[in-house]
Amino acid sequence: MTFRIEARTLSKVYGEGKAAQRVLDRVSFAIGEGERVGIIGANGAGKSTLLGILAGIVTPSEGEVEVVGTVHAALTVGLGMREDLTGRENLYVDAEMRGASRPEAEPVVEKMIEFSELGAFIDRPMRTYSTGMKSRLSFASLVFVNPEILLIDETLSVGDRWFAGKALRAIEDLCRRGRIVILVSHSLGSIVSMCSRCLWLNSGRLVEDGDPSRVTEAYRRQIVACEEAMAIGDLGGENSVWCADKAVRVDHLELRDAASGAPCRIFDTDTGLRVTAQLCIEKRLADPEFRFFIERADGLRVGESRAPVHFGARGSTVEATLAPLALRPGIYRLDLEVLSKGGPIARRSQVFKVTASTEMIGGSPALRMPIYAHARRVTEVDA
Amino acid sequence: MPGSDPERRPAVMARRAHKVFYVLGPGDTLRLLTMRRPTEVFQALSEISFEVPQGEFFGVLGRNGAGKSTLLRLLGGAYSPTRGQVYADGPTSAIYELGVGGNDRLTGREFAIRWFSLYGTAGAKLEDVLDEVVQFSELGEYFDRPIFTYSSGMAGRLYFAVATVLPGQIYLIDEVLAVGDEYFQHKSWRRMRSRLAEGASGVLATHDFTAVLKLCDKALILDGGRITAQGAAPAIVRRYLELEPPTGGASFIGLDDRSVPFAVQTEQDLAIELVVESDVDLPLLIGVSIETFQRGIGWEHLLQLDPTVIGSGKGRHRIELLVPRIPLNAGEYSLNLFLVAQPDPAVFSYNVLDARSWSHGSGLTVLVTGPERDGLFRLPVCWSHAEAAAV
Repeated sequence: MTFRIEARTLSKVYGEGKAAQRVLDRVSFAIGEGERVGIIGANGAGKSTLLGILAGIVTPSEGEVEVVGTVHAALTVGLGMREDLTGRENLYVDAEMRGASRPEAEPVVEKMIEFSELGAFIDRPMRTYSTGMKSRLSFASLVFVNPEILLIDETLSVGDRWFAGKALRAIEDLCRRGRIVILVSHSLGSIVSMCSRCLWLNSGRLVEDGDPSRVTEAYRRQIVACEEAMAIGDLGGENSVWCADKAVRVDHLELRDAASGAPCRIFDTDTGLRVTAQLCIEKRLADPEFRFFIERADGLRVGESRAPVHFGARGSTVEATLAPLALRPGIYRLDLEVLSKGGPIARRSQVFKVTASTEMIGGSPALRMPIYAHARRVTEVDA
Repeated sequence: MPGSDPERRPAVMARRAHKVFYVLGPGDTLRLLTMRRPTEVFQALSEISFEVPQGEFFGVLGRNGAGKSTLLRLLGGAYSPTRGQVYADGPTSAIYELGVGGNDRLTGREFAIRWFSLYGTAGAKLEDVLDEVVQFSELGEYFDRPIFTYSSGMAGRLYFAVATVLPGQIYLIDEVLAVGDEYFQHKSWRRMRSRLAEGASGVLATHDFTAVLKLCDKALILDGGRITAQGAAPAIVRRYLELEPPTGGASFIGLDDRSVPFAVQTEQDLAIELVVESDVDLPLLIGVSIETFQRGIGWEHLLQLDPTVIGSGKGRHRIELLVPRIPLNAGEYSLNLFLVAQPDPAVFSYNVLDARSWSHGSGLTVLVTGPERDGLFRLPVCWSHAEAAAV
């Protein structure tokens, strides 16, 4: 028998009329024996629905699916587990449902129990288990079967860091033994290392189907773009302005490459940033100061620099340069403020991005300012 | 410790708390009805004592099944202790184990409404609170769909948004900061940082040591329902990580008894003289990091020198470390020095010969003095006024 899966224009609509939600939209593909297929996509892209249809627990609204082979599915933590039975009883019931007699099942079930590391809990009802414990049992129940077609939702690998490593090795091992494996994962690294093919779902549609390295890279680029857009929103938008009093304003703010002077929004960490601002100060201020302040997208207050305002001028320009920028790659917001007696009275902000052409080895410091180590060999140390 | 005022009651406290679960077998229901105790018990927590001062987060580290979730439930009042006392000084807002403890047939909205009808909205209008939850969780239309249709990331976003939407609570958080994509994690950190800045207190149960370093002042390790270690977060994380000790072969000389911090003024040069004794005929490298564990900022790598060759061969080497015009604002920083052998390019890992670092329990301190300023760094900005017209 040749195992295969064929999906033809699969669609799934939840709800009716106005509330209808099309979670899968005319998805077609064919998977042959020996293929290991990763499915990626954002939350709500339809990955779980698609897996559910292949497993036969969700009915497609349109289209059809043909599956040749016995499907083993690990989709949800604890799904198909009977809460009132003990872990051990659950494993035996599963074995019986697959047609194994108790003596046949026993050696396998014992291995599963050992793998699960559940100790005395294996003889307690499932309802007393924590999520992590259920997840371990789910895994254990998969590890020693010989699947024809295997569907795995890797998000089920909730566990501690010891068990997560063990679970990952188990998945890899399973993938090698399965005749057809379909793996849903948030870990793009797992997809590249374990799969021979990758499907990318976006809003229910199949947008890419091909080599895992290529597809995951395209997906990664799209995520980065999305995350940047959202981070910019969190930082208060691309460009925001505030003033306490119309008589003092920051009218214009431009970020530039310090070397060329050209307007710039993406900086390499080794290059310099120059900000130029046009100010309107139409009244006399007590203790006026400029403030240059940077905040990182995760809320870290990077730091500031202040300079006294020597004048109360109309239509002045101020320029501030930070070179090299030296910030860790990421999204930042720069605020240029006019202060009076230490408190802000006008502000204009601009979001910018920092990239790095080189990576540091020992971690990623918040600021790439230098530390130097000079050494000389000595025979005698006078100190 | 800043923020911990001995006059104030702790935000959260457990005193010799125990939790025992009865394991019911056949016939035990009858036993219970006749007020006799079932025979089989499971001791989930034993002798748990700790205090969380007001305005601090406390970390609970441990493997699955160590009792972290049971402890949080105890603190949140979902369980009562079998023996001992637990206490929370104010309303608690808890995210117990992900995906558990709720009816997943409820929609996100129904879940949130049920939650707030149970725990209250601290005077805010329910509609406003719900709006805030939808916005923060970014669930969109999914907010009105049953939770069982959510991916684990979406469910995590819902629980986090619900549990942290109200300010001024005592937050009991189970693992949730590890949920969702990188963007949502950033956003969660922003929220936790701002809650901490507002003076909130809480307990974070996790096996992610970086979360404990970022958010918590103190921490404990649970193992088999017992506290095996308790103390300052970096020390506890060190215990939890069970790092390999340095292998030796070369070592720093004269730093062992150093308890005085290296002091420097902000924007002045920090220069440190080091002496290294090497017994091996190999190239030696030094790596340096300056890190912070400040409140509200948490653990952050600030400045770093990647491993750099300082010499080769047996004997003594003198090293001058220089941080020119140290760009740090006033505060106490952790200085970490690593002496490593030439890395094996095949395995991409360093063989640490000697270390003076918090992660090895031997860290050094740099004390920077200077005026109080916003943020971590004194940015070396050059100012110029291009045009100026006097009034």
